[in-house]
Amino acid sequence: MSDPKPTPILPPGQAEERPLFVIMVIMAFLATLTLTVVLMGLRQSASWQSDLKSAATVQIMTDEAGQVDEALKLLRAFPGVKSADPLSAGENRALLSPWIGELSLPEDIKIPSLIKIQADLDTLDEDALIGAFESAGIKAEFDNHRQWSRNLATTWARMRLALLSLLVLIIGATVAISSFATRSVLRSRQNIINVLGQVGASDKFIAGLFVKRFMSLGFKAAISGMVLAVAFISLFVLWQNLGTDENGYKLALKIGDIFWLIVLAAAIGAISAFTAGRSALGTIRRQRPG
Amino acid sequence: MNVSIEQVSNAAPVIQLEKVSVRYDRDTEIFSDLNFALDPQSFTFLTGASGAGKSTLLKLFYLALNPSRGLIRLFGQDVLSSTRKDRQLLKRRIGVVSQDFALIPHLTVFENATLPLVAAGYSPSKYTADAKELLAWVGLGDKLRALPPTLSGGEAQRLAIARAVVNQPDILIADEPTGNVDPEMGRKLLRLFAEMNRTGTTIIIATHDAALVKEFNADILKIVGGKLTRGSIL
Repeated sequence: MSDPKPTPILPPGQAEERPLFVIMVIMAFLATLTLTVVLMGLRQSASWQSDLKSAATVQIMTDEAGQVDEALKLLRAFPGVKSADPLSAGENRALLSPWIGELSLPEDIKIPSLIKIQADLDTLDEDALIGAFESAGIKAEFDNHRQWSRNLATTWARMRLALLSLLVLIIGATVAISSFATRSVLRSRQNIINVLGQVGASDKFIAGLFVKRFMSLGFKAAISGMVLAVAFISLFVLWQNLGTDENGYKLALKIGDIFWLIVLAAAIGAISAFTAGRSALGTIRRQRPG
Repeated sequence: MNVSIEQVSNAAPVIQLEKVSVRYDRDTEIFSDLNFALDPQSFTFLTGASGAGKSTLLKLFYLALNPSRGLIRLFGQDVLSSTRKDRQLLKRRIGVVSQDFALIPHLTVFENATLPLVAAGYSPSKYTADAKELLAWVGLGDKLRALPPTLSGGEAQRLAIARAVVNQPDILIADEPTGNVDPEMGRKLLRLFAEMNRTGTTIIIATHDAALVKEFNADILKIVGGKLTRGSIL
């Protein structure tokens, strides 16, 4: 008789494990979603910060003829300025649309002209530039976007902290669920534990059975949750990007994100196995005289 | 007569109880100040009326139960002050056949029989041939892949015995091992125990089968009123 593959000492597919699997899939789904938001947010924040560091706006405060042209000439010749382009009247008005909507402003209301410049703001001598405007008699205000950048950085840091705290909570809940489920399976398989104890199986041997079982279950649940979350995120990204023009806020899921999501799934599986082992060992030691 | 540690032979006992008491609850004490020693390589029948405490006493021997007070030594080692690991190693030297057989229902006959070897970390290549031979000897050679729920009472009992002896333990403790088998199989199993005893295994068997006890020239211990007495089955 050829020897078949040995039967697992802990029988698979117990009724107690099914709800655990479903809950762990949901936890993995939520964890993946949270981590993806963190990763996308990190990338977007870095991109915005980078844009803000290399762009500034000059606001010409008067409608005197020739002031914009003079300002452009000065800016294009100023050391460190890579480009200087005036915003058209249409673009100027578009900037006001968040406040006034599609309303047309009366012709006698003057809107300041804006010039967008590209420069390395870390090296640009802003004081010298403002001095140059004054010397040339141009009434202008220079906005380096630092306030925006600071606000953005602060908001994003807080949001990231909140999201990472959420991730920790989800992982904590996974640990608690694994521990609870291990105890439940231990209770339902007390007969097997007793027999193993009687034949001299060590605590570690018995706990090892639970580690194997929950590692397998944890990985399957984590991968399932991750795949569902990636599918969900991909659909969301597609939906968001389809409805956004080229100037809008476009999302993207990168290969690097998938790597971190796989790391997260592996971590959830490992945490589940580790928790199961610890819970099993603790329960066995409390229950058995030795 | 009461059996005490002073009355045993000079050889170091394999099981030794000193002033051992066992309580089920605060008021009920099954054994009180029990002194007992079991010589190595002895063959002993433990008898007593139903409910006298035979199974409880055996549980003390195979470390499934801790006494409420007293001292237990196995192979000279104080088990109550031993580490868990040491107790687990001691258990590997004891084969147990319990009344309920304690088989794992989803494991095959072969897997149940070899469980002590798996738990001790042996490789299947080391034990497969011997285990199959043992199972054939107890009449289960053609049921290696059968599951316990499909076995008759006698077959399940023989499987429990095969599991108890598969790792050649130093002590074999059996609780009514012939209770579910026919007399012929009962005698065959006892001959297996006798053979193991001749090769050095200490045997202690709880039974109420007086006819079987008479057939074998073995020591008899009787539990009467929570005390152990040595003597006749009658």
